[in-house]
Amino acid sequence: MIRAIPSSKFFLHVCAKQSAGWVLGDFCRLVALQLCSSGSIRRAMSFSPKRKGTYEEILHHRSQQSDVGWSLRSYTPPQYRYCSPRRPIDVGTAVLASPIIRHTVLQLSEEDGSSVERLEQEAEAIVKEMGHDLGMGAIRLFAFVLSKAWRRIYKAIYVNSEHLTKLQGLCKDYPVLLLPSHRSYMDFLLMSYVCFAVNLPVPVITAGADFMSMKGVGSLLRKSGAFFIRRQFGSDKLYWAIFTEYVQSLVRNGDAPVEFFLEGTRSRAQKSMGPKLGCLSAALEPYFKGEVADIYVVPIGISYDRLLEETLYAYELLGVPKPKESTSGLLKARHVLSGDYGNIHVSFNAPISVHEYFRAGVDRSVHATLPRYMSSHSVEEVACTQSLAVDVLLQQQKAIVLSPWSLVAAILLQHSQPGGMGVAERSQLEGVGVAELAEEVHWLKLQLENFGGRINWPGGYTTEAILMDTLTVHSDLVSVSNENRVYLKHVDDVKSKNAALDPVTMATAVRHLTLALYRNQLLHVFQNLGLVALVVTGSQENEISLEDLYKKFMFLRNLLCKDFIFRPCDVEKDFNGVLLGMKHTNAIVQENNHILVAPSVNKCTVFMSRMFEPFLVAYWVLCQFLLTHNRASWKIRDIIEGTQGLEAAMLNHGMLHHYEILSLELLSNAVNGLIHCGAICREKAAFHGNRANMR
Amino acid sequence: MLNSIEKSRKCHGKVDCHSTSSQSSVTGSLPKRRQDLLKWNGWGYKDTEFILNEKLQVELTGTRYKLSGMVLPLLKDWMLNNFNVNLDYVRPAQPEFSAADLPSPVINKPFLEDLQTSGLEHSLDCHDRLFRAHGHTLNEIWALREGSFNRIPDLVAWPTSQVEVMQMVQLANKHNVVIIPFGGGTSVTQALECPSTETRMIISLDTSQMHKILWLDEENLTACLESGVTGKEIEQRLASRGFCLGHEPDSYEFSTLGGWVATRASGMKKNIYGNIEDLVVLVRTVTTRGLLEKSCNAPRTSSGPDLHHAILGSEGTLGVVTEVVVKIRPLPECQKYGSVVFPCFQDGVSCLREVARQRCAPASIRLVDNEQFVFGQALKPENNSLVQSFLDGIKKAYLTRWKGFDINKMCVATLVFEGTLKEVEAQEKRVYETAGKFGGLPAGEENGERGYFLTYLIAYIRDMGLQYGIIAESFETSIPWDRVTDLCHNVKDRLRRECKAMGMQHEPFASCRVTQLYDAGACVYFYFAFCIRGLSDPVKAYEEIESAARDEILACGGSISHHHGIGKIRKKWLKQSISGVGVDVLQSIKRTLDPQNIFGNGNLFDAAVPISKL
Repeated sequence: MIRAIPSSKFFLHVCAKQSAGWVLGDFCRLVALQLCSSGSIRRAMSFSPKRKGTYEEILHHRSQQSDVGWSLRSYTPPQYRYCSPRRPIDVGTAVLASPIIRHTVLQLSEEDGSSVERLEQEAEAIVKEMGHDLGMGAIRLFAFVLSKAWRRIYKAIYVNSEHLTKLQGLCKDYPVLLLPSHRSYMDFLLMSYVCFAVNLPVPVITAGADFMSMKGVGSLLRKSGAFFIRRQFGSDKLYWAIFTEYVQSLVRNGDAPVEFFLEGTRSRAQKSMGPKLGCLSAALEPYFKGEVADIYVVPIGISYDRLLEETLYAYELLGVPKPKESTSGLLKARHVLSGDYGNIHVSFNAPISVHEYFRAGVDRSVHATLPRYMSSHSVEEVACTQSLAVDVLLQQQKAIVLSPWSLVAAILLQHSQPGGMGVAERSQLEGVGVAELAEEVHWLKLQLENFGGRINWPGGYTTEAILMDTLTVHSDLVSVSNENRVYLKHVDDVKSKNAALDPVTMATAVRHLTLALYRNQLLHVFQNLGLVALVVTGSQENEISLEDLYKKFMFLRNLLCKDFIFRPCDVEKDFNGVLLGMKHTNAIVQENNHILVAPSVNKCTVFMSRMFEPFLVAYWVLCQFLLTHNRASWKIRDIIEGTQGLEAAMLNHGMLHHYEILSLELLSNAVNGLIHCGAICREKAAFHGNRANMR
Repeated sequence: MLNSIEKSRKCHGKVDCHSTSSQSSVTGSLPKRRQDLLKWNGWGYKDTEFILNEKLQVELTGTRYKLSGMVLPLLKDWMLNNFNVNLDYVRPAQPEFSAADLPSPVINKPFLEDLQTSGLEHSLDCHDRLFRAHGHTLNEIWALREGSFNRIPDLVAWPTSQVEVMQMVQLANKHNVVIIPFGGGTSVTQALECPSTETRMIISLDTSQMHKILWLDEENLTACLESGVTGKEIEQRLASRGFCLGHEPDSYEFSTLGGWVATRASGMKKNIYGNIEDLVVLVRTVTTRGLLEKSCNAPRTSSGPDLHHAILGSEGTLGVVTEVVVKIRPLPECQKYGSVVFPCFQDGVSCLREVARQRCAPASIRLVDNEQFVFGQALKPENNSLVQSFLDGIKKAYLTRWKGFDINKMCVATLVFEGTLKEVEAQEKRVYETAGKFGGLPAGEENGERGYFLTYLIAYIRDMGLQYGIIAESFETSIPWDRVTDLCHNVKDRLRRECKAMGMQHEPFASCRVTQLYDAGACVYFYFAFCIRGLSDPVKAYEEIESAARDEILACGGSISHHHGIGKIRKKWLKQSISGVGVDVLQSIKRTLDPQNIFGNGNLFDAAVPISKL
């Protein structure tokens, strides 16, 4: 019976039935389009076996081959033992009836005299705007559609299984927070898809309210578990109260794991951004107040061999405004559904018990004398939450499986400077030999492994074979000639609304930044090594004392604290660790308590310092800009735009070669880093240029 | 109807037992040589214990309790399944100590001479001394069964009146000798333990020979009792005059009025009669500075801070409570048990909260969780009647099939109603109606009664468990209503988790019940047991786990103790609980009343070093 109906129609029929009254709209059309188009499903390549170590492939290798059967299969994920089952709409009702909302409404009404009814209506509207509507219908629809769509463009989706059994057990005993890294729109759908595939409960997800306006898709996302938070709600007490209570209600009752992105937004530069604590501290409050015995936090690293948004990100970083999320935009973007996007790796890290983590540092009994609805975090709780957030980011980074392409990008970016490798310049003009590139890639891979990076490097293949595979995936960016030479592809000149950047500069910058995105993915592995290398290679002396090296290392860490994730209390540990590693690999030579500079300036340190050089250059230009314009105070935007203009001029004059420094995110981090160091100081609404001293 | 009520009253566990002890006011229920009547190394009467009979079924020996002489066919399997033990693994208790096994007494010769001159009754017998070296805290029972003591009282004295107590205290003060007052000996906080660092002579002042009802005032409904009288004795003697006190802590067969005052005890029927602090009208305490007392039996006074409250909960650190004037009540016309089953614990808690909100709680209402509900079922005696077991089957089928109760989630509230027939009927109606709103179904008198029996027998069951390598203990707290359920969940989780962290393969038995209702919160009581096989130091393991559980309780907003007290095991949390200033206040009271630290049992806090002894 079922076989007689073409699977796609049958499925849509089932889903439509399951979800009578849905606004499927454009999305359904998109689905149909995908299903009816003729492209054949890509076969999993030999590079992507069913199992690699602890990783299992979930897209192509399933026991149940038919997508319909798979997405409609019996799915019984573990459930939190104290969960009282409720419909999504009941969450909203419970939130509105909660003591904290009632209290906040009364308080606001007393404060500004607005009527309780009006405030209650407002609260109701906010809850309605926020609420998720998780249902299995939408999940199964997504499971089906995404299987079809992704199989065309992805060779494999790998999920590490080592912690999954434990996690499934934990879901029964404790509320769980899923905290994935956030580097693509795809993360959101991918996480739910993976959870469905591995029999974890499908999470509810904190999403930015900008998705909400997408016609049809907003409601579909709600049905797949998203709830929407306004990006900025500053001092809106009612909104804040509703948001925290909404999250806490979900955590307390353990309806589903709560998923959110610690970084707040997608990391367009592809390296972790500093954590935003709002959601995390809201989600942890039920633990602090003793409402749940524990909460488990699961850091998850997601990596894509190739990003759907790669050029989009490059433009955004340069300041070309981000297109508003719209359904038609999504439909237009469907051409992406025909490329080759390689592999995805989803790495669940070991779940962290909040109770174990906070045990020593936090005394929860301080909340015993206040009513529970009164929100308060002790100083220790805030500090511990901050520290947990940083740890989760570090764990995400550690879990991330890098693509060989990151190595290639890092190498291609190495800039032409007198005596340098100059691969990037040459690769554009005369290309790089595949063999030469493979040798470099192999070298860098060894360094990566030496310093704890994880890379997708299938066993049994030569470096060249792996290189060729990754070059194929990125054929939008590079081409391989018949003579086995690798060329960077030319980017058409870009019309820019940004007055500071001319089309040619813009085009070069886009090409550089696109590569830089992939290189950035591996920077966390080398971040400490890079800083030491910067100090060593930049030294004018014959030797550097360890003390001096440590001081300068610390200074750089402080300065770059917004660009990289460091745990402040671990400076010494990190320093000693990296020094040891460098000595083992002969990257530095130490005698007594000194580093000998001459033998320590070698391939490794030079390569690493060049990799991190662009950051320092950008910071330096920013300081130049501030010093040349002797003004008492600045708007932050003016500093960044002004610096970008100065950079463009310097690049055009050939004084600088790092086009990636034009990234506005980098400059914004630079400003914040300098504020952190005390070089410039922040006033209430403006910024005041102090004397900005570099060294 | 009346019939059933009368029947249930007759069956009420305590009324019919211990008929040997006379109504006479000459000998109290506790003899001087307690070890003749009570176990020297376990709970309760010598003739009562749970044993495995030749059919390998659990049987309760003796004749004192309703279940005495009965076989409990389900209990053994419950034990085997819940603790993963087997009956081959036994840990027999060591033989009774001889004088050689015990620390030899520290003798303060001048004191002993004076004491002998005074004619006050006393003993240096090692078994008398040993019996008063401990309460019933787990580690104390463990020391009796498998360990040893490095400090026990050096002498036991039995004053028979307040005057004799005053003599004792004066002598002790004169010779700098320590006095540890000893009542029923049922402490579970190591409050009776002798501080191991104490080098002075330690006297155990046994109050058991002060058990008289000094007077009874029917007009004002008060009675003046000596402090050494046990709960059971009080009720028996008052009942013969048509009255009752109504204070029934779980230990009330053995615990004494003085002990209740000293620990701020709470009775199961406090909803009608109040806790000990509500029951006392006047307390007389002998201190080293003289007698501390009020001037009249007025029901309430405003005369500065109520000094009764300095004595209530002082745990023997300030003096000896000798006489107490208490409120009494006419015996209730009718007493009846009842029970309600709920689909889950949370529903039960919501119901209890509502009952408290309406202030319609019967004499006692307790909610036990699923684990304890199942445990209670395992205590059903052998059922000889086919009809009964058939009915049980139907009841179960009705609940699980028709009403959709999950046997692994449901829990039960047990009830005691007291009052006139009409009052009881009205109470029943109101409580069952309220319960109905939370999915509760009346589940009969028998279930209720069994629940209360469990209370009196649980310590006997613990002794049997120890025999098979299962150690068990209870602890309690009080907490605001909105945190009750979370507390229960979290503490049980913490217990399971700490056991796992210690490498125990099998989950412990972690169970709780809500036992007292108040306007602002409830008292929660935990049972906790696990198999010690493979643990090198089971008592230490237990203590660490309980300590973690107490931390969890405090983190959830619970109190350090509802009625067990601080003793020695909870001293480390006292400052956190009452603030540093609070501890200073207690210290200064202690310094004023007992500058030499004569009452040096070391409870509550470490007393400041005694001021120089000249």
